[in-house]
Amino acid sequence: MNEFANKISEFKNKFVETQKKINEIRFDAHWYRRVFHTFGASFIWYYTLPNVGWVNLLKTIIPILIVFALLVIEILRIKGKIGLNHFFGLRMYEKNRIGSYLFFGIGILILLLFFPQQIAVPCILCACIADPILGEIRTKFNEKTVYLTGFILCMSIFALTWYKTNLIFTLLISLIGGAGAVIGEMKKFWWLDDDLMIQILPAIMIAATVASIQFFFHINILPEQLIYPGEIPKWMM
Amino acid sequence: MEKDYIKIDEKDWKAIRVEIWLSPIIIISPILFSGYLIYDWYTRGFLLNENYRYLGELFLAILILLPNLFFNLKFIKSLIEYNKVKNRLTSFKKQVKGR
Repeated sequence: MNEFANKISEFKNKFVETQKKINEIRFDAHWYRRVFHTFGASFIWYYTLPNVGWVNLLKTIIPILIVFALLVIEILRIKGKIGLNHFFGLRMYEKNRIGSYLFFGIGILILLLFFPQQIAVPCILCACIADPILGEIRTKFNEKTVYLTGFILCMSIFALTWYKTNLIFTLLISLIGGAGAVIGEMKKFWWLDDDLMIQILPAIMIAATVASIQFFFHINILPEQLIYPGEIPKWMM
Repeated sequence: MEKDYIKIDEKDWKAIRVEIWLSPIIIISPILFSGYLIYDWYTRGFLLNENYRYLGELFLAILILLPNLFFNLKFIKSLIEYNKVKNRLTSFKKQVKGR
């Protein structure tokens, strides 16, 4: 009888141990969050859509509707109307606050609707590509290395996307953009996510620089667009 | 700020299900987009001798494709790992019930 009880308890312990291991893997949302970030780069597809009346209308309405739907979902989650079981990979600080993914969406929406492509594309890439890479570097190195790498990485993104303008302006914009993105990543507030700041701060800084140069020196430093819209079949006109 | 993830209860299948349903879109769309950009650079830029104008699309495609491939691989690996352990647990639970 005793032997049987021992076997049962041994089995129970094994079960609990396995369950524990499962939970460790079950809640590991690390790579999901990283992949979700890099997926955000797909929204740049927006610029390949043709410039035709009704497509332009859809290009304005659909992104607003998507972000609005996400906002409603987030409000319902915070109010407790939708269970946390429906959300994967949320962080503890996002429990009673709007989730990072919505800030990320709002950032992309603002850039797509209110900023020229030349400014929006590198800023979106900073959030989608540089941010997850910096996150990975952060797990292995100190903060100083993270910010230095971030600065170089974001600067390179701006330099690559602004290659069509004068070299001096390319350098200037790369420096401003890199600095803006790193400051946006550095400053962390509970109520304002870095996923929004890393996109919007460099965009505002560059827009201000472009406008100032235009105003004081009458030079338009904004290069030609980076992505050219596709052509629409005649039957869809 | 606490960087831990919210611990959801044992019945987290709904949350994982969202993740698994979204995975194909999350993984494939950036790759498709990069492919489109490379195709556009090749057909409208390289073949028509407009390389300089369209080079930006090629840069962008590479910039999007490489990090996406890296993170996608890591993500798929973690999903496979999760499935393996989940299957192990399911068979273990069945074993327990059988006894």
